[in-house]
Amino acid sequence: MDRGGRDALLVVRAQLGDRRSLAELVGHWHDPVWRYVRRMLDGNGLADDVSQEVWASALKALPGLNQPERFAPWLFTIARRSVMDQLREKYSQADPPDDDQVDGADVAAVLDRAQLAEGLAGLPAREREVLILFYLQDLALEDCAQVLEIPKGTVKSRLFRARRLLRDHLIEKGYSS
Amino acid sequence: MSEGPGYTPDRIVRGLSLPRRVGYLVAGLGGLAGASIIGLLWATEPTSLPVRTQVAFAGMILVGAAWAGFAAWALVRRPLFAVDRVIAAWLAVTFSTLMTVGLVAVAATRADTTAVLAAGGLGLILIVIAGTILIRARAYRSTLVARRRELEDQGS
Repeated sequence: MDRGGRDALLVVRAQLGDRRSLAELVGHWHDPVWRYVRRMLDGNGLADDVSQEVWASALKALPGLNQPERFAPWLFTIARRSVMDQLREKYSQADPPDDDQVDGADVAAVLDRAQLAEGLAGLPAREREVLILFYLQDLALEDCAQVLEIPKGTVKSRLFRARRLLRDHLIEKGYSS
Repeated sequence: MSEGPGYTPDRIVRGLSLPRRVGYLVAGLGGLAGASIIGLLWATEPTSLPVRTQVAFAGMILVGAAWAGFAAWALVRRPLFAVDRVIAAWLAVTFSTLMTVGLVAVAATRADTTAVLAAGGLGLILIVIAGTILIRARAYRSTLVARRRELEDQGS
């Protein structure tokens, strides 16, 4: 059974009231949610607080989840809202324009996971989150689009820009391209 | 960065145990039913009660209402899963029936036919509402059970 199927079954069992399945579901996503929040915000303590808020919101809303197979994007949508609320509090700056074009040739650049994790800290929040969701959480493009509440094409263009920024950032830090 | 959450998954699901939530529900419904019956007893007293009795009644109503308020607050902050909904609906049916019997008995011994009909009518409305909630809760649970079976079949 794939990840989506596993989650769907655990969600339905949890919705029925099976605490063991709920604990198993939380166990699977506990760490990824924390890592996403941790990479988006600075400080483990803040990540703990925010990710616990995320779980409180997610568990409260879980009985109303109608598409259990879409659990992962649904969960990250909740996580993203909490992260954005935090970031909004922290910064009150205007969003950058979102009209980059996709360059198919450049998209092929391969990034090592460790390099990616290291370089993320130097990127703006918008670019950081799309890389985290796509590369570190392994969400599909359409799932990223759902979480980020943007069209799939915009996810691609944002990924392109994020990879370019990350590459520039890593080159600055002494990694070869 | 040091990696790893500073809390465990158990901490997240702690507080969601079924006995604890049923306990809140029983306490809340019990408090509500108790406060209602004492309120009716007080309201239907033919003569004015001594001050000490009034204080005691007011205290008991306050305690019952406080339990109902606390239980509602505690339950609203937690998810309501299918089994919780079915149990909650059964408890609501039971308590509304007991409350109706209590209200009608008090009205019958202390007031006229109009009061008995009013108490019975109010109780009946509460029972119908609780019954409807029970039917919906059972339907919701049946849908989920069918979905679970479907997913289990797909996985095997």
